[in-house]
Amino acid sequence: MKQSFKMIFSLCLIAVISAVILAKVYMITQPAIIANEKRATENAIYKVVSTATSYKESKSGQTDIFKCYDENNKFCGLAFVAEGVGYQDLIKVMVGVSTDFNKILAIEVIENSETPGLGNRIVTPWFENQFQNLSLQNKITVVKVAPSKDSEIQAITGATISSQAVVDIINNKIEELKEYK
Amino acid sequence: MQRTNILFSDFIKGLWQQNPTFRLLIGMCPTLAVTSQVQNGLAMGLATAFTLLASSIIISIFRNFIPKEVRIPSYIVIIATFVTIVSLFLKANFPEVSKALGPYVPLIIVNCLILGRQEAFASKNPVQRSIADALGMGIGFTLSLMVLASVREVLGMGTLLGHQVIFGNFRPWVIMLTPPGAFLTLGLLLGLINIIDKAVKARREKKQ
Repeated sequence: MKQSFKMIFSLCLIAVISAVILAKVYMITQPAIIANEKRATENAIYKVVSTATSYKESKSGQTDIFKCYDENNKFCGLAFVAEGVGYQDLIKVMVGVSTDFNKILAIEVIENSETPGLGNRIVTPWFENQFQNLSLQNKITVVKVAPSKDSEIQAITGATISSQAVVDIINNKIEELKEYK
Repeated sequence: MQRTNILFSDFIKGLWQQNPTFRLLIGMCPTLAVTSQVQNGLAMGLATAFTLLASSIIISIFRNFIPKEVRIPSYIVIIATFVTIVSLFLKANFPEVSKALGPYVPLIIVNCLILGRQEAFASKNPVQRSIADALGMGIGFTLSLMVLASVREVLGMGTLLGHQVIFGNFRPWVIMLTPPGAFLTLGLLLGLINIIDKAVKARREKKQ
């Protein structure tokens, strides 16, 4: 009896002390963690809508939409996060589109764990810049040669699946947000 | 003098003789996963070393208070506390590193290097010796990860700590950055270290 009491008591004591310490550390670090996340999102928004100087958050279904305004406070574009499955894991892309939802302004891949050296070249400017000024009249398609239409993207050599995944993710999100425009 | 000697040998054994990665072969999961770049290897090594040191100190101090029957859950709770502190610290101060290491930071909790040292050393020895042991093992682990990561980063990307080190017409060996590259590098380094170790021992025997 005495033995089991000692076991319960010491384990509880250790757990309580740990909980108190962790609560304190959490309280100290939380503001910095939130600030970091916000800064990362903001950087991505200002990158995909390059004329933006401020933004307002709104929602469409489950998706956060960032309405962007330029220095004269004029509505200059929309940004949103599109995510989906890539070759290995989740890919997250920040997409900037024009105010009338007719073309993509720019994209930025913010999270991916594709194969180093192959799939993860979706973060290179060469791949991301292909999306600039891409028409949204039709679905974006992936081709293996130099694009001939304004809704085509050239796949990365050796990483067709990752390239296709990025395009699919963006297509799906845009389809989903169609009603929003 | 005697005591300093013991402390020194407690410390030094983690660097070579009982190096956790190359001699004891424990804690392999983070070793293989995060060593594609030196920066990540260093961060992982330091995070593990800090957790090891902090939990060794606490567990060594309370070694007579913690009942034998519940020692493993007690160690795990203590280790988990320090790992969570490290994880929050990285998220707040080094978001990039924290993102790159992903789930491997929380996995330090079950790294058998840490639990192993508590069970084998800190729970049986006084605080000073446990500190020496933890420092040696922690530094040994960090250095091993950096050696592995250097080989992989140089061959896989042509860079070291992000700086270009191979110039000219070099095509990076992408395989070095992928899991097979981790196994290849580890295997070759283990072989190399065995050869060195044998040579050193043969030499010592000759002297005697």
